[in-house]
This record gives sequence, structure tokens and C-alpha cells, in this order.
Amino acid sequence: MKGEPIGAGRRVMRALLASAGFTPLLLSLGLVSCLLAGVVRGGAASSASGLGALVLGSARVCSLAVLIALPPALLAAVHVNEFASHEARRVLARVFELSAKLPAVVFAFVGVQMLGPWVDPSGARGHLLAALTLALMLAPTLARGSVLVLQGVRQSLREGAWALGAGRAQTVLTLVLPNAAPGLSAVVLLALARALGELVIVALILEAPGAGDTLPGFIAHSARTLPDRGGPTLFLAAVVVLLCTSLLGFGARRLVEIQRLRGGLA
Amino acid sequence: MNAAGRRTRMIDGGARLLCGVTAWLLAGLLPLFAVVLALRANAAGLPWTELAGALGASALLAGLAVLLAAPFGLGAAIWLEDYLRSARLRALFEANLAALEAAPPFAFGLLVVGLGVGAGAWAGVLAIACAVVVGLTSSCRAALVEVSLSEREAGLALGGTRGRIIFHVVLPVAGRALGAALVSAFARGVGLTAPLILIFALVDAPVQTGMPLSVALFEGLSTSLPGAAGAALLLGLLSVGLDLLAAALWGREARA
Repeated sequence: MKGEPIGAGRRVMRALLASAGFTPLLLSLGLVSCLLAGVVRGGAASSASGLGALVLGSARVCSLAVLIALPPALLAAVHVNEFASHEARRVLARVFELSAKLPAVVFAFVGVQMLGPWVDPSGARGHLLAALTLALMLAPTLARGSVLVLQGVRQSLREGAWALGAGRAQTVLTLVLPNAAPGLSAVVLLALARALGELVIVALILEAPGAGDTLPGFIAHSARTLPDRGGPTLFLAAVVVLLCTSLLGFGARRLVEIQRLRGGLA
Repeated sequence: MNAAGRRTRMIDGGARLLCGVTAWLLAGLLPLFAVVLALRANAAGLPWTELAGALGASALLAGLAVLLAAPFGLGAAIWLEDYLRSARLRALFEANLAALEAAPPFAFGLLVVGLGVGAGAWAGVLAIACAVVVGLTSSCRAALVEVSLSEREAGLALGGTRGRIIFHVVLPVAGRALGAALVSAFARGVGLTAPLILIFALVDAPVQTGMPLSVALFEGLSTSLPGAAGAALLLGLLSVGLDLLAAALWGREARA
């Protein structure tokens, strides 16, 4: 019966691999149920008030950060793909990649050290300081993502435009960017999700009242100072942030699929 | 050259200048950060002993987390790439991975608090492992995809089973890329701060000596600025070094 032990071994390996395969799904379920249990423990209905303002505050800070970071990131990506020499392209792409992977806490620290003296963190300016610090963090991420998306646009499109007498700038504006629009939108959505996630650490370092008007800022603030720390409102805020980042992740994935269908991504 | 041609060249030149200046300014952020941190850290003597201890604690915490996450990440990658046949299930798993990859790191700190693990080193290890396992799965999948189909087909032609091909052909060929995935996960683990801070804050545990670099940076903000700047500089250099190592490993794999 030589075949039996091999068959059993294969079954065991398959079962082990399948259980490892289900880890991300179990992690999601565990995350959601743990956060929901935290909400239910304290009674969610009474704690939901004020959440709308926090959602609006988060949207304002994160959108402002992306609006500040997007134009330079896009210009940099256009330079890397359309104008730079081969060597400069290699160096710039590597630097953007390394900068995008720097830990958020380093960006937050440097942002506060560099911008703190010029932007008063109290009141509405707290939003501005948080947004500027986040923009510092998001710019390399956006540039790296945009470089990848623009690289995927078919070279034959550019060559066709040049053959018709269009300049490089005109080709970028009328052909490359419109063709890369879904991919670039996915990059923006992912940047928004990262901003929402990393705002916690920015708010923790800023300890500014302005940053506390956002969901992540509220989580950071209430974890350290409020009397009901660990209470239902904190978990509810975390559930909302998780929901928003998941939706942004889904949206980005869908847009990447659209970009792939257009033949604009490898 | 006619007027239209001159205009096109002028516009192209302007666009090249604007984009180039912006790109190099953005690329200059990394060295600028290093200079700012080095100046701040040099303002007074650096607490080298504390920083070395924090570096060791970070390496230990992230190393254990990667060791814990690696079998799950690699196993999930192999299962998704080589065993899962149902397209519907694959779509579900990929959507779940996309959602988890976008999940904020602090949520994993709340998960560990919710599980009641406490605030010891193992709580930190678990939170970091949960945060890096999804990225590790994606990187391992990318590494496995890079192995050419012909290598698998050669193994099949020689009568190898799927398991044998994976362990004797695919994994050895993808070895360097898998190593790069592990180094990247380690780099990410070292930099994670929010989950650890939330665990310490919510469980109400005092931050003790031997804390990781990221927590040392955070705690150093309220006590000693040079210590915080030194920790930030060390963390940044470590991240850049590890990412370069990962890129070097992955690059060699791609050329092989």
C-alpha cells in the first residue's frame, strides 16, 4: 500500500495550505467582530452622536492633504515617464519608492518639526498642519503610484501622437493622462485610505485640538486622555474608519481592473 | 522651423522644466529629512545606549512578528496561486486582501486589545504580525508568479506532483524574491507605531525601558527631543537600508 501514505501526506499539506489561505479572511472577520463587540459592549446608540462631524472633519483633512500632494506628485511622475533620461528615471523612481516606504511616524515627526514653527496647531490651523504633514507623507506615495500607472500606458499611443506632429506636453495632456485616468484615480483612492489610516499617528504626535476633530484624531485623543478610553465611541470610530478604508480599497481595485481592461497596466 | 513648431518646442521646454524641478524637489525630501533629523539629533548628545536598546527591541519585535506571519503569508500565497481553482472564491479572497491592505494599522492594535492579550511584548508581536501578514501574502504571490510556467511544466513532464513541484522547483527558484518579501515585511514591522501606542494606551500599561524605536520616538517627543530625533533618524535609515536590501534581492531574482 505504497500510495496511501503519499495520499494522506498530500491531503495534510493541502489542508495546511488551505488553512493558511483562509488566514486573511479570518483576520478580516476577527477584526470586524472584535471592533463590533467593542461597540456593542457599551451601547452604540448613545455614542454615535458627533460621529458625523468627525467623518466630515476626516474627509476635509484627508482631501486637503491629497489636493496638496497630488499636483507635485503628478508633475514628478510625468517627468519620470516622459522627459527624464534613463539614468534620472531610475534614480527618481528608486527615491520615490524609498520615500513612500518610510514609516509614518518619521514623516509625522519631521512634518511637525519642519512645519510646526510656521503653522499654529490650535483651532482650524490644526487641520492645516495635519493636512500638510499628511501631504508630505502622501506625495512620494502618489508619485510612485502615478509613475507605475503612466508606465503602463501603451507607447504606441505616444508614438502615434508624435507622428501626427504633437509635442510631448500636448501628448501627455491629451492622450497619456486621459488614458491613465482610472489608474490615477485608483492611486488617489489608495492615498486617501493611507491618509485616513496614518492620521492617527499624526494626531498622536501633534496633540492638536484641530486634528482631534477627525475620526483618527478622535481615536488617538480618546485612547490617551478621555475618561471613557477604550469605550464604545472609540470602537465605533474605528469601525467607520475601517469601513471607509475598505470601500476605498475596493474602489481602487475596481479602477485598476478598468485600467487593465483598457490595456493600460501590465 | 515654422511658428507652430517653435510654439510646440517652447511649450515642451516649459513643461520639461516645471516637471523636472518638481520631481527633483520631491526627490530631495528624503535627504532633507535626513538633514533635519541629524541637525535636531546633534543639538545635544544622543542617548546612544537607549537608542541601541530600542533598535534591538524593534528588531526582536518585528523579527518575531515576521516569523509568526511568514508561514501564513507564504502558505496563503501558495494556496491562492497553485491550489485555488474556483474563480468566485478567488475573487472573494482578492477583494478581501485589497480591503485588508487598505486597513489602517491602528485597527490591528485594537484587535489585539479586543482579544485581551494584554500589553506585553507578545501583544505587540501579534499586532505587528497581523498588520504585515497581508502585505507578505501579496509579496509572496508576486514572487511565485515570477517563476516561469516552463519550469512548472518541466516538473510536470518529469512526473512530479503539484506539491513536489512547489517545494522542489517553485520555492527554490523564487527563493530570493521570497527573501525580499520577508525583508520588506520586517521593514514594515519595524516602522509600525500606531498599533503599539494604542495597545499601551488602552491597556493602561506604562511604557517601559527596552521599548521599540517607534515607541521610543513617540515617547521621546515629550521628554527629550534629541532622543526622539535620533530615534527618527535611526528608524528612517533602517527603513531605507532594509528596502534597498529587499530591492537588491528582488532585482537579482528578476535577472536570474
